[in-house]
Amino acid sequence: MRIKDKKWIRIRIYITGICFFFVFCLIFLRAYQLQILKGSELSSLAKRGYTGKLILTSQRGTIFDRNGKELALSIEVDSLYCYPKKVKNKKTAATRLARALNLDKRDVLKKLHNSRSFSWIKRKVTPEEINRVRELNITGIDFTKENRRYYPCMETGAHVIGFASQDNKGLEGIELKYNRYLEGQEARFSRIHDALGRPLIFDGPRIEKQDPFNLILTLDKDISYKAQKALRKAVRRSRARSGVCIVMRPQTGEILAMAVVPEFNPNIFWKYQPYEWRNRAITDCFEPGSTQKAFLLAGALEEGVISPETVLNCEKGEYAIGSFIIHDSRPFGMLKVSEIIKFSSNIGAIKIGQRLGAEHFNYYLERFGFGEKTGIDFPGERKGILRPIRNMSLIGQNTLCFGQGISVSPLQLAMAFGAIANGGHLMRPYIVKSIVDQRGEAIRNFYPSIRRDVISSETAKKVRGVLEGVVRQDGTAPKAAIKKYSVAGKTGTAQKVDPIKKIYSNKKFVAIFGGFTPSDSPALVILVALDEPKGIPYGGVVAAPVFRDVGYWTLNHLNVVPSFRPATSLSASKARTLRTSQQDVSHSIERKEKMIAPRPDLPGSIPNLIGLGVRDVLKKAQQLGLRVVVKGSGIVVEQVPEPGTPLKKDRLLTVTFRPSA
Amino acid sequence: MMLFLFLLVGISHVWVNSKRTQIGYSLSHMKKEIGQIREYNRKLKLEIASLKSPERLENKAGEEFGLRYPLPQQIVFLP
Repeated sequence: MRIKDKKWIRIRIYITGICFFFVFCLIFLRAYQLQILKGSELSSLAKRGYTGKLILTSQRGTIFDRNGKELALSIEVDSLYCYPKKVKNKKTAATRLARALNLDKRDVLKKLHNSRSFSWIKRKVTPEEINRVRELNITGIDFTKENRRYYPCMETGAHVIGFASQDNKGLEGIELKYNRYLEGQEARFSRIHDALGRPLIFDGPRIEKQDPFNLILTLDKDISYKAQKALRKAVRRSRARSGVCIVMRPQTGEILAMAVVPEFNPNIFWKYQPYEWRNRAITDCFEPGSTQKAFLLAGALEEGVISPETVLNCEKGEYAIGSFIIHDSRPFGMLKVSEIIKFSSNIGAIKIGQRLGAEHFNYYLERFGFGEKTGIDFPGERKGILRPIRNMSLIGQNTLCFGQGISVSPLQLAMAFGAIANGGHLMRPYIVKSIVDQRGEAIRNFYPSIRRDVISSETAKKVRGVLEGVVRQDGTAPKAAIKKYSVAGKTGTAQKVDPIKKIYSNKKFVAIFGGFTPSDSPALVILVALDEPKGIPYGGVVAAPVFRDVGYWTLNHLNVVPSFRPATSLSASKARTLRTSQQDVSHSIERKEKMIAPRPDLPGSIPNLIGLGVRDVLKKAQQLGLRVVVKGSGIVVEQVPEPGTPLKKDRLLTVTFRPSA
Repeated sequence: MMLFLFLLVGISHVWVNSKRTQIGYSLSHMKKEIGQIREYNRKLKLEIASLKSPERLENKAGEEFGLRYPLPQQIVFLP
């Protein structure tokens, strides 16, 4: 090889080396740029490619009644959405979707023409609708899971439970009040997925998921249903504007039922007007009318200014106070205090009020909780109006005795009756019994609490005795009487104020009945109020039957034993019959026992097998060498031949068995 | 010997990784399954609650079986 050629080879090697050097330098610089300068940015970009976030929206907690029955619970349902840009032939797609989902075609088309990349078509659809849409197989349409709230009891207890929005937020009632417990918190997980997007590895949640809590209410689903049904019937029958029925335990203040009409179905709450959602038992106030007399009586008895036997002059139905004349429904003369309450004499009530004094009466009304909130765990409670005595005219102070010039909520009234029923303690009403976690362990319990002692137990007992007279045949509310149970209560027929004329209307009333049963040991306080009933507006006619129906059913439901009293107990002849029939029963039992008493077996004869089991019969038969035909199973009730028949060789014994009781 | 050891470590590493991936898949599958079963359980609870609603039971008892509430005189309280 020539020297020139060798040189050329060397030059080429150098050139190649230099090229490689430059290439390596470039690679190195690029690596430096990628790894060092842009390292963190690019690694996070890559990470985004193979990791993802998984957000688990929390499911709203369940609401149970006092017996563990579900009143509100959430389940996952599908929601339908679209990527408008991916949907081809939008017009045809809109027509087919509208038909499958029972929607308006124009609305669907509008959603498909949406300029955004994502648009809801229909949220929370039914499984049937999902199947129909899947069959259409339209590109750009997809489903996602969302939680939907269900209220299986529908209208029952709806005004107490309230409802939650599509976005899992409580909007009314207990759902609103306890939203922070029911809502829970969503959890965010990070995960690594493969090229096909399938999840591989989950990291622990970045935000610790807080499971929602469940609520256990004091409500009883069955009592609530009964109260709602009875109230609905009464409102329809009397063509009233609205109605309220509260059932409460006087010893604890637990609300067992709170029925309100007009009612609504919380599953489709958006189809109702806001006034139908309102829990009128707590938010509406009215004048209590004659029910006020029960508290007037309690105050007067507590102060010792009267006794149930005190006789007062009811002025033959007309009594002048200044330029005003007070009337009674009937012209009463001299009446005992117990009769004043029984017949609901307004003039008699004024006379009791005069003895007690306006200041004292107002004091007792305050003590009974009027003019202040009850403290129930429910949003939107109103405290009503109780004016100070100094702001009242003379007539105002007197008409207060029969429930004018004061405004109370049905719940306040129920709690005040509760204080009379339980021996004088004004309780705080409550609806939520406990808040429990997903394992059922209580994180917070609510207990009965006494707000204050209003009257002594002796006074309460006397008031109960007087109020029992109201439901007697000659009282104002015989329709509230419950067979076999003692009832005490008070009717009220309060005139409403005409908002235009600013005077008491002669056509618009609130019919009320508040009471408790059994009156000697009250298990229930029930308050019924109907707003503007048409026809006969009296509380004893319109509201009392609801008290009776709900009370009777609830007492049975709670297994409250009837109070047998001379007036309501069995008549002497019936009692005699019962005793006789009891004797008959015991006699027949005795006879039967005699019949099946074992008789001694005679030697050489068929033994008595009555009452024996199969095994014993077969054993005896084998000992005596008899062949046995067994009929049925259980114990022997019949045998052929009869016991005592002389034994003969190769004799067949047929024995009939019956299952023992 | 060293080569054999390297080979063994390498194979073990690959095996562990593939096993990890498999377990990851089955774990996520199981989690999904648990979620689905829980959800199905909730749906069944809702169905039970709806079927046991007092209104439905009362209508069914009355219309299908001819039952009605007992009258006061038909209830006997035993001491």
